Amino acid sequence: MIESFLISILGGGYAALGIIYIATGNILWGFLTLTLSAVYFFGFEKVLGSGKEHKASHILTGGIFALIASGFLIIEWLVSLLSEPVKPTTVDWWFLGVSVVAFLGFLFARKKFV
Amino acid sequence: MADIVALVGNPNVGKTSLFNALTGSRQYVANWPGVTVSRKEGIRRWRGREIKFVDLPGIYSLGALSLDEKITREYIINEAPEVVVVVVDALNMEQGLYLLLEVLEMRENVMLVVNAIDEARKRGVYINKYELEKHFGVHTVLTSAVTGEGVTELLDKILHMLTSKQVHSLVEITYPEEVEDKINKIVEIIRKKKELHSYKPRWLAVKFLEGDAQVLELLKSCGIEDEISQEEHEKYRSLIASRRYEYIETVMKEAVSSKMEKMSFSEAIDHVMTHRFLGIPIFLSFMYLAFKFTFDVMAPFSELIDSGMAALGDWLRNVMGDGWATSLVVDGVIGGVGGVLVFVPNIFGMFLALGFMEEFGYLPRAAFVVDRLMYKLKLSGRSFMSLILGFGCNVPAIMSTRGIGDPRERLITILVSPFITCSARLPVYLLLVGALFRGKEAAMIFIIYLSSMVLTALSSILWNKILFKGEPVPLIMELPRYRLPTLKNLMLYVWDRGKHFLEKAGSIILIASILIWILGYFPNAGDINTSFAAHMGKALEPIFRPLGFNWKMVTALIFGMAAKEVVVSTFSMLYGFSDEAAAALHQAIAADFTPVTALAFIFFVMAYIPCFATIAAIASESGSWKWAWWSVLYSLSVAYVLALIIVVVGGMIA
Repeated sequence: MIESFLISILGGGYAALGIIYIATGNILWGFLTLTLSAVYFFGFEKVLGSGKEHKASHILTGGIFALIASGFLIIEWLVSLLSEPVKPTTVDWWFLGVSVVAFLGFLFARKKFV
Repeated sequence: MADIVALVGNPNVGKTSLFNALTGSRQYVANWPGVTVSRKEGIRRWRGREIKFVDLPGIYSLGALSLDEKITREYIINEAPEVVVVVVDALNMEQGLYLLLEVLEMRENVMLVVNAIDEARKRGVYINKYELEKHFGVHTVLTSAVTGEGVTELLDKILHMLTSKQVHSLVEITYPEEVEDKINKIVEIIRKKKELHSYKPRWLAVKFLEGDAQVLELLKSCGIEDEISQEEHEKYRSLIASRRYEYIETVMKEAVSSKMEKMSFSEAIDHVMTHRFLGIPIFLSFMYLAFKFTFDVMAPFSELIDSGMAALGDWLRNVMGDGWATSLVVDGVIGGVGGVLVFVPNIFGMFLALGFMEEFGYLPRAAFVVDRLMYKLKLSGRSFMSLILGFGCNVPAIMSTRGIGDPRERLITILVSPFITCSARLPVYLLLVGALFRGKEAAMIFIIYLSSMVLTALSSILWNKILFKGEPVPLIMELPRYRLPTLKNLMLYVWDRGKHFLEKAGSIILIASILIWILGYFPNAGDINTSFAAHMGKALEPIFRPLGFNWKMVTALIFGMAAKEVVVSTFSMLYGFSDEAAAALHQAIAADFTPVTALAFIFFVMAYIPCFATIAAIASESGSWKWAWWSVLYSLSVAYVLALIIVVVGGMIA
């Protein structure tokens, strides 16, 4: 139950952010965010059989992916303080917020299934 | 003289980690197969005795199908090390034990090391080393090269084998009766041949039955003809392999107990990472992140070096005053070498990103994901693994093709490797993209790299259609476990690859910068438009006029043949004689190039003549200068046509 909830929330969240990124001209980051969304939504691929473990593997991978992408964003902001500071946009903050949930999902799936 | 101990094992079982632990070396340990392309040696003095350890390329069998297997097999036969240590992975022992059986058939004094025992314990896998010793007749040590567990015991056991007079490892596996009958007959014939006395007759007989090309040739040279049909060889090969696996299975049942219940972390992640639909977008996303890191994250560091170089130039000009010596130091050395050093953070950043993916264990997955695509190009994921090394430098990429068993696929991979954008070309892209595509740098660099991959793919299709028709050998590869990158190994990776760039800056780029300064300064004391460099560029300018390249760009391309970074040094000098500030260099370039010309120039640099070191590597690895010259001619033609297309299409759009 909780796995499906996480997949829906995170898949939907990243899908919305991906569309906003593309609409605002950040096409490549939008593509990356939509891929992240797909990683979660493909967790619904097999409803029968090894359902929970299948979902868990998507939550785990999505969590790692989100962690790496957010890490890169944060490092970029921190390093930019050396010269011209880059200002995160509202969508960037939302991306980080959703990624925190993605990481919590990762910790949950890791404890329960791996 | 030191005793020689050879380390043999499957790819990615931790041989190099163990080698480092045994010798105190600092060889970079990769988390993917095929990294050790030639042997590495290190000395360790242990309890008063000097031992030379040799780390051999990772192989799956001693079948001598690929160059790696040949190197390892020939080393064991010709160099006859005192002890051969077969290293197997505790979590994936079967294939390693298969190799052990082959080595045992080949020679005495063999040891078994079961590595990554700490990880096995964590996963609930327990290994009884006494059972392994009993069944294989070899000393066995359980180690963890990462924590150092078992290394002292291993050194003691090796020392024991070196000092005792006993001959170790005498277990032989018995094959089905029909195979044994044949082996016995062949052994009798072999024993009569004096020239074969240095080989183990049983090993030769088994290899003869398997139809091993090298052994068949060896026996033929001694008058033993192969009268067995291909089908029969196939049958014997299958019977021998089945018996070996049967034996291994029996041993595993007694020696290994497992309490694994949950799915492993790697299994869970691979379910998604190697997914047939998700795999490619995930790969592209990771590549984009790598280039974003290379440009956006590293940009402030580049700017710091840039300001430092400009300040140094100003200070020297004030101290030294005007004159040719000042111009040589400021315009020649600081302008030329400094112009390239500005991009050091970007290059180190790219290696950091690639190193992270490699350390994490993602790159072999990427090879697996693109294998289907590569198959359509008549290559395999194994070629992709070599090509991706080319992002660092094309020379190791070409060297690593030694692990490709199929000679056709190997040659195609060697010939298309120079199209993969190496780190030397990155400064040229960064300079032009920074000058003409401001604000879109990371996206542009990503697109340029993708284009270089597409160009590589198209070239391999062409080579395959014209010169080397055939089907690739399917990729069979063990995916290594995911692991958290360690800072030490990551830094080692970055330094190992990045130092090459710094060495070049202090050698070839420095010499080239001085040479370019001389050609740019004389004969009219700094009048660049009447300099020797201008004459040289202007002489060739008509050839490049259809591409929109002026004489400065042509001169940069000529010097760039030595090493691609020299293109940047040349620009720094040709555009920077009057003003040394890098911002002014960007402005000067932006004034001289249009976005279309810049793009045409970038694609020309991407494709044209590989540097001298790469040309030499092509010649040595393909075994012929013919292919090296062919590669030069081909790349030059492709570069010209590509740039022309960009200029024509770009002109129409603009």
